[in-house]
Order: sequence, then C-alpha cells, then structure tokens
Amino acid sequence: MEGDRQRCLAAGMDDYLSKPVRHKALHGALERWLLETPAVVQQPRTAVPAAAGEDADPAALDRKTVEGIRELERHGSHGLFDRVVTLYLDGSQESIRRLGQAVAVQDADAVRNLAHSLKSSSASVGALSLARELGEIERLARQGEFAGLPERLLGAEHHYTRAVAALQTLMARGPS
Amino acid sequence: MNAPGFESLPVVLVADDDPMVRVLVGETLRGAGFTVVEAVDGQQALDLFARHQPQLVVLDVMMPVLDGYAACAALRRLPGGRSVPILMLTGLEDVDSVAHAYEAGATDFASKPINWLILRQRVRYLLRASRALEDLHRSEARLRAAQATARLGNFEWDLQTGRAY
Repeated sequence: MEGDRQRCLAAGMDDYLSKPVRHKALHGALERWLLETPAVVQQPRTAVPAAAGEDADPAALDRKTVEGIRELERHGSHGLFDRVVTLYLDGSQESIRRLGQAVAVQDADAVRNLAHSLKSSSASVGALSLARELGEIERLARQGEFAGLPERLLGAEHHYTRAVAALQTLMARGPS
Repeated sequence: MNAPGFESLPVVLVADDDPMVRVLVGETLRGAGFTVVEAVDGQQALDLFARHQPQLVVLDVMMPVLDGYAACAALRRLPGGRSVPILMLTGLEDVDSVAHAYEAGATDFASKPINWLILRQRVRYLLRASRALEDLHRSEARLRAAQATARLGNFEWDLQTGRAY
C-alpha cells in the first residue's frame, strides 16, 4: 500500500516492503542496503582549481592530496598548509639522511622503519611517487635484499628533491 | 579546560609519532568540535587514556615503544576501554594491516593518504554510533533494575519452534 509506505518513510524508516513478502522484493531490498557503500565514501572530492599547482612540478605532488590540506585550511585551520609543509621538511631531511646511512651499513631494521615512516608522511603531503619508491625500499629491506637498495635510494632521493621543490613553490605562493 | 557550567567538548585521543600527522588529524578533529589530546607513541596513548577517558581514540599503526595494534588490544582491556570507538590509521591500502587492526579490536580504519574532511564526518558518525550504543546499554540496565524491583520479567515465545526466550 502506497499510504503505508509513505507513513513508514515519514516515521524515519529507511525502506518498506509489503506483506506477503515476495522473495525477489526482499532480496532486492537486502542487496540495496547491504551492498551500498556508505554515503560519505561516495562524496566526490572537491574539484581542484585549474590554477592550483600550475608552476609546481605536477609529477612530484598529487594535487588531490595538496588540495585536501588546503580544503581543511579553508574550513577554519588558517596557516595549516605552511605548518604541515614546514614540519614535513624539518622531519624528512633528517629521515632521508639516516636512511642513507642505514642503507650504507645494511641495517635492515633501520631501513625498514625509516622508509616506512617517511613513506607515510610523504604520502600525507602528496609526494606519492616518492612514497611508492620508499615502499619499494621498505619491501626490499624486509626481504633482506640489499643488492637493489643503493639504486632505489638514489631514485628516492631524486623524487625527494623534486617533492621538496614543489612544496616550497606552493608554500611561497600562499593559499589559492 | 572548560568554564564551569558549560557542557565540556568531547575529548579525542590521537596517537601518532609523526608530528605532521598529529597536526593534520588534530585540526580535522578540532574543526569537528573535539578537544584533542595527543600522544607520541602507544604507551603514552595508554597513559593518557587512563587520565582523560576520551570518547574516541585515533591510533596510527606504526609507532615506537608500543605499536598501534598492541596499543589497541591493551586499550580494550583498560577500564572504560571496552566500548570506546577506536579508529586506526593504516598505510597505503595495506590489506594486511587493516585485517590486523580489526583483529586487535579497532572499530574502523582510515588508510593514508587520508581525505581529512571525510575523516571529520567519519569521526562524527563513530561518536554518534557509540553514544547510541551507550544509551541502549543504559536503558537495558534500567529495565533490568526496574523489573527486579517490581519482581517482573518478560519472555518471548516463538510459536513455530515452541521455544521461549
């Protein structure tokens, strides 16, 4: 009955099935409610303005991640981007230096831990290609494969330099 | 922390060894109206939990001294820790660590890189769900107490199976 359906929905129920219950209708309703991903996950990310990151190296930084921090900044956290980038630059310099040392002395545990934490913070500022490279270093260290590490480290250092330059460009430009 | 007479803001405990992530998660939560308490490792998270009794906990997986999994499992054994919502921050779509987080007793997880505004929504929802659960426990306890006082009981009789509950 359409009247019942309206009353159920008005009372705050999520859905309505009339009796006698038909197998197909019940199945359809269960599927609709159980398989649907939560609405928050479906929210599209805010479109990135075309101007953002234009003169910062586009391959070094993920725009969506950068824009995510800017968005939080616009939602009441003034100066957040600069604070975050400054913390990243301060911490990562020391980490990449210690990572180099750990690779040189083949300390697998130290390589794994340093690569992991630097991977995590790099991903948080959008340095995704650097994060991928560090993930590879972490994997090699876990498997005890030292042969490939020095070359990978060079790759990571290269990505790091580019990411730092791109972050500094964005910071100098200020909020979009 | 709050002026007397004002309802205090819900407290969230955030544990991550990376100061940058603490700033980002902290800003995300302060923007949602939470008071944020920060810990730099798993052990400090346990100490601060006991002191502040937060309404929600955010734990990073990789932390020195005591990692996120161990801290989560230990939190569940602390007074007040059994039902507090615990959100774990895991690495880049790392399926193993997500499974491990749930095994350790996590309520939910978010994988890095994190979409901060979505995290804000998720935390609000987790808190709402946990409050609803608390209300339910409270009213069940009240019902039990009322029935005990009135020497009343209730049961359900399933006519098909003939069983009573």
